[in-house]
Amino acid sequence: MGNLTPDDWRQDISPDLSNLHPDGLILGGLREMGRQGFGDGPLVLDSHPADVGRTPWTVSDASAAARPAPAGPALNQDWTQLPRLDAIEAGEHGSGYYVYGTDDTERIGTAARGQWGRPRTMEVINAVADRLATGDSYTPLGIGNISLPTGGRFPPHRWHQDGLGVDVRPARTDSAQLPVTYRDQQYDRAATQRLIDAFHATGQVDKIYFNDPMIGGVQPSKGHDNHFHVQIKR
Amino acid sequence: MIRPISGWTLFAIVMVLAFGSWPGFAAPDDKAHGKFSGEYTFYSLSLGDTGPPTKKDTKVNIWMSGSFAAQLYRRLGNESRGESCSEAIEVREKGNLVCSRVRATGEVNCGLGFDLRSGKSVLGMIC
Repeated sequence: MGNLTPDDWRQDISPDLSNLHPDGLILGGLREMGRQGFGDGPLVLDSHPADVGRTPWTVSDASAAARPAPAGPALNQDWTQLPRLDAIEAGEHGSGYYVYGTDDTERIGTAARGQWGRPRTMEVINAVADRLATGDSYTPLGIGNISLPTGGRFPPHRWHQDGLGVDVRPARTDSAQLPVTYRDQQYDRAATQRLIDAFHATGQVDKIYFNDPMIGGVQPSKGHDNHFHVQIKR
Repeated sequence: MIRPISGWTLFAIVMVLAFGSWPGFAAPDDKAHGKFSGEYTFYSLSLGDTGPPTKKDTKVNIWMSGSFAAQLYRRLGNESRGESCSEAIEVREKGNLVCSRVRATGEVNCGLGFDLRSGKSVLGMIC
């Protein structure tokens, strides 16, 4: 496969979800990607040379990410994009996951193309969604930032450049697909623990950063009151 | 004819090699004053899961890059080593000022935020 343009990935890489039944859309979409045979090849990191003194203030990367990128770093060709599932009632019991932080606004942490990752990352999300779908309790799985398609810096993240880090929302008692911190009344600790456990059960997780001291299997990290960061093993 | 190295010169060389990342230590290309490059974003809630800025909740994140960020990183010093989230980066932080350096490329970026309601600083970078 040669160098890809943004249009190429839209046409060739993103799985066609249009013909899948809504009930099987989320997990089916991920499995479809697996069938396309994207190997877990060598990690490609794009360097960003220092732009000392040349660039005036600009808007955030979020808006830059929303625009096509005709030149510059190539897409990481072994990466895949988490399928966009706007057409379904994502988050229903058994339906897998919903996404957040992917709109085209200029707000920090949102990037239209901020959910690209390595195939193994998608497999982990798939496995977690599978596990939650077969459980007795409804556990919404909200997936946020992963990486940009070209890797590289992803404000406001220190890293999120290798396609192996995934941000996930804690669960809410009202099951709304909205932000929540572990200090909020709407925070559902039991469901959040199920989420954490489901990630660990994949055997592919290196660390999970989250600040609720009552949750097991995590370690605290500044800025992780309202989401947990899952770092997949290399 | 080779001139012998004076004691002070030798001392300076040793200090550079041993304590090159002292806070306040300046590399030859460091400047006490200059322009810098970066990005800014207004938002509400907190980093990692933000909302649009509102009248009641507006914060700004300032993302610094280039030589200014590299200089900040150096001046923060080794004792400011912070949580890196990944073996691929090194982090230095003090309070809400966070700088990360990509080991493979040497690229440094720094982040710092402010809550515009209170005027207080807020965390500049997350994992």
